Amino acid sequence: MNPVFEVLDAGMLTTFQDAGRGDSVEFGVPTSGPFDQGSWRAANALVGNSTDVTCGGPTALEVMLGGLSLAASVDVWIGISGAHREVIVHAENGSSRIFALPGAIKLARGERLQLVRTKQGLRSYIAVGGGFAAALTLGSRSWDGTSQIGPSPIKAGQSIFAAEPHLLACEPAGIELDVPTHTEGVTTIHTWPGPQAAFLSPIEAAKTRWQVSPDSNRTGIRLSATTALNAAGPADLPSMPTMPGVVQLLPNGGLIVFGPDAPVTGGYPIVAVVDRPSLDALAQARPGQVVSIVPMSY
Amino acid sequence: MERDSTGGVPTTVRSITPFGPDALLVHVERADVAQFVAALRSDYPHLRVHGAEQSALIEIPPTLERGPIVESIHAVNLSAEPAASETMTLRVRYDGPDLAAVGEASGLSAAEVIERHSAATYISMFCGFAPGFSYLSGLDEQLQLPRRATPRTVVPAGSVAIAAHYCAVYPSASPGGWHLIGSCDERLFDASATVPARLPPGTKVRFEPIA
Repeated sequence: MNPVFEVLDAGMLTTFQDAGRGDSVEFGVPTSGPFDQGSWRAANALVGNSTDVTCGGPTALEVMLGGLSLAASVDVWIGISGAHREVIVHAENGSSRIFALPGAIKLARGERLQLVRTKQGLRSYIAVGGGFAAALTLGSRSWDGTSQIGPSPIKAGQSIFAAEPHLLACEPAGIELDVPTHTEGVTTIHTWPGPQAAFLSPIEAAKTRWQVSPDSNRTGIRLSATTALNAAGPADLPSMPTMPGVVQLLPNGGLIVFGPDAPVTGGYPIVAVVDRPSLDALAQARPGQVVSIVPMSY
Repeated sequence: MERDSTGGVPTTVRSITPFGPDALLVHVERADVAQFVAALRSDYPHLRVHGAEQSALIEIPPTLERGPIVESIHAVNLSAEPAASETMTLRVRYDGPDLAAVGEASGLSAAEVIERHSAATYISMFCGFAPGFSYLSGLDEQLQLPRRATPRTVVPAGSVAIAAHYCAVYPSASPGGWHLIGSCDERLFDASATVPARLPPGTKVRFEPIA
């Protein structure tokens, strides 16, 4: 098999993500998949991949923060969408071009793609026609960092392969994308009442100024209250089934919003559930980002 | 199961509540979880359904009509005998660090704890917490204790543990707050297997003491 990329610099954390493991929740296996689903879909759409699936499907690279450098082993069209606003392409003769993102870019064999550390947002997705090839586990190529299932994060010196090499150099149809607006000063999320909503009133949640904690990752985004919070909950309730978007109230008064790799059950009070666009926005929220909760009704 | 207000067919479902914009939470009796989830998954094989202690979660894409799904949920009838399933026997060394403490807390000798624990036939009700971590119902009432006040930062893989209503075997090393009464060498989770959990919901389980 011939590679499509050689990894020169793996960046902060770069992982394979397809739509996820659809049918393994009953075995205690998280769905996993892209944290910012909207940007993952957009990157795939840029190279003509359909993402109309609930599991599996085209595999892209989820690039957290950046610092990634890939050398193209063949001519390849790539789609990039998410946090990054530009990508640098270095030619073999030493010249460079900068492309605005989101967008589709053609890399010639021997050229080098560089995604520097983004200054706003957190995650971008790189897609190729037909998606990348990687080991399949329970029907998906997604890396689940909590369960340690799926192909490991990429490393320098590694080769990356394509699932459909004959599609790599196909010029995509060309689509217009809106530039994602995840990068404003405050991330606004919409919450619906959870089964234990009584432990944190929507009014309290809405008037509190929340901030993303550094110990946030694909398992969940932790929010700490920067103003005094009137909320308390037991630490030990009967386990509830959970899913990405669940908001638990933690014993320390903080919240955690479940990400794609979160466990499928949990015992802390589920005070709210966020919608998919809100979860996509949280995928782009850096530590320190202010988050505002807008409570919704059924 | 409760009779509905017309005094007609017993209902399994205690309530259905929305769970965010894209899912429903169904409250059922603790003992009905595994069967109920199996029935729903059979009715809706394309929807993600999974259970926990007293409830099941069904993810419903916004494109689907909820009405028929809600009706199906209410119509689930578990009064029929569950399909016979094989009993998985796990060989256990009852050498857990909490065995004596469990005995003291429940007013039993260690030998009596072992006898009561291994006498029961358990049923896997649901998986959660970690891949392959199956919550087994059927724990002797006298052995039902709250979780440890201080969880351990590391529980070894293969630990046989109990807490509240359930028994479980830890599939891999992890933090844990359950009482460790023994250990077994069985592999509880294999991501490359067709059925990756060794004790999927509905499985009957017995524990056989080994020296």
